[in-house]
Amino acid sequence: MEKTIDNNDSQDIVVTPGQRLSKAVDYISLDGTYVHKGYIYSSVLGFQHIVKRNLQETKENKDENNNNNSSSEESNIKDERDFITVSKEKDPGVVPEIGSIVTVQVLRTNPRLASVAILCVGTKALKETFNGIIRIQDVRATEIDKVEIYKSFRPGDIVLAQIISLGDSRSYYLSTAKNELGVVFAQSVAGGTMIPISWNMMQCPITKTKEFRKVAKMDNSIETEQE
Amino acid sequence: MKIDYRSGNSIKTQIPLDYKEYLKRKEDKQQQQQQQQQSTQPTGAITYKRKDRLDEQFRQIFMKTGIVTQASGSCYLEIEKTKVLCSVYGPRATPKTELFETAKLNCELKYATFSSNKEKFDYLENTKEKDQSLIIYQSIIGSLRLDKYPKTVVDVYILVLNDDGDVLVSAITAASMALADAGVEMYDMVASCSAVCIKDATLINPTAQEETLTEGAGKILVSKMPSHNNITQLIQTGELNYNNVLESVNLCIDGSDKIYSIMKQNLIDSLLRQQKKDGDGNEINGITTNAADDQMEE
Repeated sequence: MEKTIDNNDSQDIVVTPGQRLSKAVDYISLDGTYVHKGYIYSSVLGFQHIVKRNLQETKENKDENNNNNSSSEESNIKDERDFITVSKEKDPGVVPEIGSIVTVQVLRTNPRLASVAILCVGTKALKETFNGIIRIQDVRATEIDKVEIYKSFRPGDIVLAQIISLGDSRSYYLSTAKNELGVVFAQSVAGGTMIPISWNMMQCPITKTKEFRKVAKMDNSIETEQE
Repeated sequence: MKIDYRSGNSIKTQIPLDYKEYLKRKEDKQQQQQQQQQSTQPTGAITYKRKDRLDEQFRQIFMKTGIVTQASGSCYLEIEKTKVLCSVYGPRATPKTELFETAKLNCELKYATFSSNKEKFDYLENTKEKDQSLIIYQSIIGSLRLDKYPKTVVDVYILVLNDDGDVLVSAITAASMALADAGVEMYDMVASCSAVCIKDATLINPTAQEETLTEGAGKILVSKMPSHNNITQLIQTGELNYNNVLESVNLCIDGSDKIYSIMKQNLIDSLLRQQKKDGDGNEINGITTNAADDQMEE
């Protein structure tokens, strides 16, 4: 989740790696910072941003209420502190993490899995692609035993997927076992951009042939999730 | 085994010297050697007098980040005639399949074939380059937060364009700057400094000439993370007595701190310059650099 950055503070401060920003009790350290011996330090070159607690609460009220029901005492103490982050305009390394929604392109398929190249993490494009695989049991949530890879993905498809594990040493493991995950862009044999007609079918506008895909249900819910 | 076919017929680009000048140089060299022998034989220690600067004075230093546009981060560093270029690529996906939880750091130092007129450098990596790469690797790996980048590789390539002494110090400093420029998360930047101990003095930041003249004398190299006051690398070569070690290490720590402040200022300037280039010139007026580091003390 991205936080709203409070730019009303006219003094944006440039900090360098290793620079001490504040005491750890004053702020909660976020991206680009770390805590060491009771102080918060910057770990990248960039601008120091203070993210106000109130702004955040209005945005993420629901999430916090859901998550922090059990640990109410802790959240009470934390509530009084603002967040602190350091970021630079040009940030190079977005790395896929467990749980993040990624945009991938299918490279190869075989009966057990589809190997893909990860292009974007959330809304940020990667500079260089990472390898990932979608195993047959992770394609959809229901009727797992009847899934066939070649009826779900074809090489060249653009797919929305979620990272479920860092996987083996070679590739990330991805899953499309959600309604809003799956193929978002595919071309038919004739070269036309296919139009989804059901959750497992897409049609070519040129030849009117139907091809099987694990189609993503595109609506507003996923967009808000990413923002 | 790798065979370098080019090394057999390398082109020699030495400019022929005037004969008289050649003779003169030869005489000078012999005299110098004699002097050295005379001075070394009775006392067992080398004496050398610096002319152009003080013993504990650092040479002029220049650095600039972001000059290799293809790399994620880069730094060009000059300590007078020592010229070093460092570029950082990554964090990028692993080509091979070994490491897993944390990023892997790759460090490679290469002397350009024209970098030194005493030594000849091939296209192949020689043992000196391998050793120095390892020292640089050890110096900077402690400062990086590699656990932030699982399953990736960070490549650091250092090219020595001209060797006029203190190459390791320049390389470590440049590497740290380039990593900061690339936005790789780190605990602190690493600054480095070295010194040569001779009989009656400790020479900081030696030139190539000084390095050759004092061959065999004790040398100290210190790399440190100044804001945490941690030393990441301490190398001693040659024989040194206790007082010498103490003095030179302290001098090197002071030197590193000074380099660190230059590094910091340079990075801040480069970021502001970049912002200016991006177009929104109005925002810069509101930006001030932070001096809180100096104010806050534990």
